[in-house]
Amino acid sequence: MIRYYYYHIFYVGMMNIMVLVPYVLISHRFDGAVSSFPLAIACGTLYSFVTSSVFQRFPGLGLPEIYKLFFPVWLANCLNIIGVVIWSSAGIIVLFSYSNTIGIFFDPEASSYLNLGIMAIASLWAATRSSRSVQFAHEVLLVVSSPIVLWILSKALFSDWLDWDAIRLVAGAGIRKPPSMACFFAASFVFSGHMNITLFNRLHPPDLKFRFRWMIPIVGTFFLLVSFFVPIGFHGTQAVGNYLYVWSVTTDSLMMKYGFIQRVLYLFLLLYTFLSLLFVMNTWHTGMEFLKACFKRYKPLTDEVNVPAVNWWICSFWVVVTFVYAYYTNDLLNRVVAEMWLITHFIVESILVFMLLAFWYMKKKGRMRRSEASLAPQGGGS
Amino acid sequence: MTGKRMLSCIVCLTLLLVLGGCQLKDIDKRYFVVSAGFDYSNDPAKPYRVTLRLALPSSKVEEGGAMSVVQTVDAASIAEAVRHLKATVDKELEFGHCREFVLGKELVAKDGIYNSMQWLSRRRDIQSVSNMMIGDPDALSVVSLKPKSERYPGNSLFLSFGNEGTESAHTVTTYLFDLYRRLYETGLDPALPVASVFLDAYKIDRAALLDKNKARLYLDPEETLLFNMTAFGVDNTIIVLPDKPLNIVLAATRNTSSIDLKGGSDPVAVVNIRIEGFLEQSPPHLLEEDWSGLERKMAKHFAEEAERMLYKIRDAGVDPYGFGLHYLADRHNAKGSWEKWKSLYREIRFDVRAKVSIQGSGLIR
Repeated sequence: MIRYYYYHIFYVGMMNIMVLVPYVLISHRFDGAVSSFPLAIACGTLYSFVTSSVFQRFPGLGLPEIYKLFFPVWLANCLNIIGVVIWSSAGIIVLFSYSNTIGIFFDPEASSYLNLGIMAIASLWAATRSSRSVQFAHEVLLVVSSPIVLWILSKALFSDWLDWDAIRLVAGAGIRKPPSMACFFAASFVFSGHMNITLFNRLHPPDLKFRFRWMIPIVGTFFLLVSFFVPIGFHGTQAVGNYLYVWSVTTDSLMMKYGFIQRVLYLFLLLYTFLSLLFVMNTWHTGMEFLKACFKRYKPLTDEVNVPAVNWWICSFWVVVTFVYAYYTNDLLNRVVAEMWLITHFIVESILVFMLLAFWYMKKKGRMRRSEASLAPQGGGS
Repeated sequence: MTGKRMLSCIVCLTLLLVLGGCQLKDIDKRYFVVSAGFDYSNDPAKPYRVTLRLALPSSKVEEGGAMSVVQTVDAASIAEAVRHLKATVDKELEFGHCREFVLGKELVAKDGIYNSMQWLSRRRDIQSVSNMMIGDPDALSVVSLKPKSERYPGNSLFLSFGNEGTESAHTVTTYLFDLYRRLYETGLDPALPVASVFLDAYKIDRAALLDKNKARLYLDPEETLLFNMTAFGVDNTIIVLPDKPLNIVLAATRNTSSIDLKGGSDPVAVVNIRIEGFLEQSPPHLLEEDWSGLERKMAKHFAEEAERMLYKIRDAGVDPYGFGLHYLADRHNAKGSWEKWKSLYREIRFDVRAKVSIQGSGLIR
């Protein structure tokens, strides 16, 4: 069962490309991107360890249930709403950047709303499923796509055209600059896969032990360094700043000479279709469950066979918001929004980590408002 | 969900898929551009002459069966020229399969590559792994040649590059993304192959070295070979040791090169190169007499030739090897180091450390 936890760590590491993390880091490559990496690695690892340790003390409870253990209902609901906004907006930003990338490289003649629409419908359907289905879909998509993503990454890493002097220059010059806040926020996103435990802890059995946690810093550091340094190696220290979709251009610089299609770009975009779907599914599903937890009659269920109608309503609302967002925004604005989201995300994450530590302490002292058993989620399957 | 509702849902969703075709042009309504050339037209109002070679799709794939048409137009910029060209053809132009871009020699001399690169790097359908080259005397003659050996239009030219078709050590391969990187990088300058028409084929055996915009130096074929070996480490080359009555020729099968800077404030630029191969031409029993002596002699001769070429490149004021970038990386891009390097590079000494290892005499009898 522990593998489901690491799937989240792993895919968020790969997803950072779609939330424009490399773009933010590369635009600060000469002033403090590199020096913020050690901080981000330390911080991300620490947060992962704290959240997993605390949630281990609350087996089978999601974050909304833990709020109810310690807080009055109104405060719990406020905190839930913050979670809803953070989670669902992440899905919306990714959906927009994804459909834009596809519009630019895949199908420039089709309307961008068409790409957005098809993807939104797929995400809508995936996100409305029960938590258990979402978890299984997550496993399937990740197992299909990650070997090929890793293959592309290693192809890039061992390419003759990778200029190690450029990488050395940026690393050497950057580490001597004071760290930049924006880069620290962006880099720590790579480690934020552990946040998905806030909902999916509901599915964890009581005796779950978080083993192999030493993998978290290794996986995160690997993806962080690769997604920052490989584009610099391919496009040089200067020209790399001229690209917005820097990873799409980087994969386009690779060639599969004897492949069915020689442009690696198309394979890459296909894989990121999977990963974006995965990301939007997870974020919208989490957002949806957090929102449902605000209602009084709500009973947390994890394995419903027939999903309630309210799932459809909530996720449809996010589809509508996505289209409104796509109508009023553009590439430039989306960049700013993504940067703001990365900052907010980190702040919320930090507050949550401190709250969790407080919960841990309060549980030890036995200051709970309700009993854990009364809040534990039910299966719900027939 | 009942079966009927499910079915209607599925039908609706399937209809969505058809929508994808609404804004898509069929393959038979498209012209595939297979190579493009940019020239200088000497008309100040319309300085750019754009030549496109368009493939005519055919059901047969055979040598000499490739059909294509060549269209050319003059305009104030490349983008305008391409738009204008659309008015002369009956199908939509598609650049997705175009992997050869030829820049005319005169264009590179007068206008430079910067403006052309702006258009090339912005087009999303142009592959970053396109081959870039200079056309001598102009791009039009290179693009409009239709070699008889082509299986499908345009494949003759791109097979010349890289190691897809022929593996010629005289052919420098420069991809679009590499040229774009070198255009902006401090301490790393562009290098481009020079293609010309020779009988019914392309001759790509020279290289042009550019500063950030214009060509500074054209290397002759022998220098191009040395440049290709030392800068890009291409395999399958030869090195020659002059001898009477017949030159001694080593066919190199493996070749690795790297650059380095040795010494503190007054560095020496070092090019390390390891060449492995077997003798392709030599007097009988030469190798058996003095194996390591011959290796040393070949390495010394190679190093001398390469150093002569390196000084020539240095005196032209360009740095296609990236010594400057290496220097900056060593100095962590400290303030003032770029200015210091620029004055250092003018006077820098080169040291080619060649190591030749002969695997065998090449004799099979």
